[in-house]
Amino acid sequence: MTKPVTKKNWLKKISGIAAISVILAGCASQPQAVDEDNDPLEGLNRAVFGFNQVIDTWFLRPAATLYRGLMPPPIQEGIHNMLANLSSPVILLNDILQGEGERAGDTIARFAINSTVGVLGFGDPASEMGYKKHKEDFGQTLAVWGAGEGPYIVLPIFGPSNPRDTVGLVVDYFTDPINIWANNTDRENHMIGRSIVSAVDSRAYYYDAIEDIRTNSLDPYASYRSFYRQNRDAEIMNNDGPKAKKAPNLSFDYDAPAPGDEELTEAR
Amino acid sequence: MMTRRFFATAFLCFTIALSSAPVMAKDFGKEAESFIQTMADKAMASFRSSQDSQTRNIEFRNLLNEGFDVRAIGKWVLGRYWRKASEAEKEDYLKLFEDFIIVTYSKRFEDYSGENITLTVTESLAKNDQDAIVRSQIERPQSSEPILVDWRVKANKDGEKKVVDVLIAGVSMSQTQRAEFVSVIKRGGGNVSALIDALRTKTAELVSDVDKAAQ
Repeated sequence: MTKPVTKKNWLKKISGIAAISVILAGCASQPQAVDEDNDPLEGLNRAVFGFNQVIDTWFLRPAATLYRGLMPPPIQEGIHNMLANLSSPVILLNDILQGEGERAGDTIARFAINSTVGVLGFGDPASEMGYKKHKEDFGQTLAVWGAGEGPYIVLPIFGPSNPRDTVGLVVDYFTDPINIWANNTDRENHMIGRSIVSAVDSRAYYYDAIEDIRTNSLDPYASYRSFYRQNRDAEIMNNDGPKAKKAPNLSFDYDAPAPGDEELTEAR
Repeated sequence: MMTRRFFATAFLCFTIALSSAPVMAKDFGKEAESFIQTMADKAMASFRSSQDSQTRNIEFRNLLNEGFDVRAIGKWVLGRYWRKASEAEKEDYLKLFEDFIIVTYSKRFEDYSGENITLTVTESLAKNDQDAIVRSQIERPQSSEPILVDWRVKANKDGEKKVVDVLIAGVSMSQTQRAEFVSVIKRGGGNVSALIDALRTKTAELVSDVDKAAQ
């Protein structure tokens, strides 16, 4: 494949994504109870989930086990930090797109400090200086812009998602300056390498939580679905960030159902 | 004169009414905070001291029954199927649910033992004088990122404070458990008995794993 063609394809993809996101943004979100499954494609999703479980058992889980066995925890944390630092440009872009000025400032400060003092992002001295880590992605930006999540879907390899977050995933990939650079300089293996390290890092980072579901859940598929949707809602509300402090009514969701409500007040 | 005094009094009453309501609610928030802190301190003390697993299991059971409204959680987790269940099924289910919670969470409790983890209550918000959310941060020595944990505390009929939900980084454990249980019931043709069977099998399996590990 010659280079101009690649570039054209790339532009085509971007415009395609832009079109999809406009459509998505168009369907105004209805606040949905997390309680409802929102899973019209459950049959297909369960099949893909089964496939992902096989991939996990054969490749990802052994790789993560090995990684955890070989790497001392401080090194694991360093690599985790480095990968997080590399995603700073994407986080910054989405901070800006969401109009989060303070968080954008945090991201810039974090990137500057951790890339230098933190030795290429291996350490996280910025956190100790008060620039707390946070995540943003284009899926969250679309949500802030008012796009609904759409039905729950399980993507092959990538796992739990929905149309909004799938668009987000693609946009994040193509707006990442590191990927753009690698694409334009024929360094595709950089991206492949980063993806593999990221996959193993995430699997190792959440190892205990995943094992927990594996052993304790009566229906892991349903557990992951509930987990994913609740976690995304929390991320969109910036539950893990400083915003929680300023607007407690956003982070403390009283309308969320909890035991003790409804029929539970009767007959104990 | 009369009217002015009347208005002054009315204004005073109004102000008191306005200010006292949040104060009452805030008090429950504070009470809930210290309730969580006390419970956490007990748990941390248990993590740090290196007793045998049997002692820890007993301590865990006590903490769970003291601090959590396990029955209320169990009922809620069944969702709309609670009403559909027969009396015998309800009885069976609640018993199994408690066993299930004890075996799964004591395992998690065990994983934390020997670790120097700290829980810091950061803030609380009371909805009224019997419902509050307490926000805390849990720090583990091997990770620099604190985990945000919210505790939903409610006063039960006897006025005792009980935890009814735990949210880890915004993910409700009760909600997740409900999704899982309801899915099992749906896939079992809407029969609560399907869940009861699955719970029985799972709990037995987990208990035998624990026993094996203990040997």
